[in-house]
Amino acid sequence: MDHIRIQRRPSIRRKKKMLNPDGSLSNFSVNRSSNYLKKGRSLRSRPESSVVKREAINFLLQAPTSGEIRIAYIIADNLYTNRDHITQLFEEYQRRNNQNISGKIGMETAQASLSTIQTELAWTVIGGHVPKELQKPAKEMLANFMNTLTSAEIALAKQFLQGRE
Amino acid sequence: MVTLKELDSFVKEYGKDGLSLLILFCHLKSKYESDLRQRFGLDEEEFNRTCMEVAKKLLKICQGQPTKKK
Repeated sequence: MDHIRIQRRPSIRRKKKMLNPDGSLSNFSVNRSSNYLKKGRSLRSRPESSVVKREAINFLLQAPTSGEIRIAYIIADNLYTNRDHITQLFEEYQRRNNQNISGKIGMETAQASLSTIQTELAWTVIGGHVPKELQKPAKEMLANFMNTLTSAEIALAKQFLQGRE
Repeated sequence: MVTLKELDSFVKEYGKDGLSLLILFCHLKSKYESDLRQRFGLDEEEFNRTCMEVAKKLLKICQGQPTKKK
């Protein structure tokens, strides 16, 4: 993935003028700064947080393995293909257990068990389509996806997909 | 926690690509949260945006699309 590494902007620390022993300005700092300014950017306007964010992005881009991305693809593909089946199964399950469970065991427990049920139902449908060697990490990824995803995160994904970010 | 109905309406609108983006985002978020927040001191919102940005980039790379607009 070397070719997609994002070029780092010169660090803010480099804007400090470096002096040679004779008191003249070091070529290094002058060149770095002037190159940066040639592009029409002000040294003062560079926010430190954006540099940190770039570093974080670089770190993350190198972190996941291709296997993890492959698993994400397999899950997405199977969930997408079987989404009607999964929704139907879940609705059927809810109809059968129509007695208000949350009234008996409390809302939080009900939600936690609901997310587990969603995961289990989805897994019963897509589990067979996942290669054997990837089943364990795939189920973990699916469970994590079903249990932790929030509406705010869906809204954020929409922003990114619509190209507003 | 999000319901299947909510997820279904998202999938209807954005398809398989949207779904893989969400799955990869959740994976990155859970796996690298402590490491990333400790190392870079990002707050919750910045962290979410970073993960989403990276998930989008990774998917584009896998689809052979350019990651930057020309």
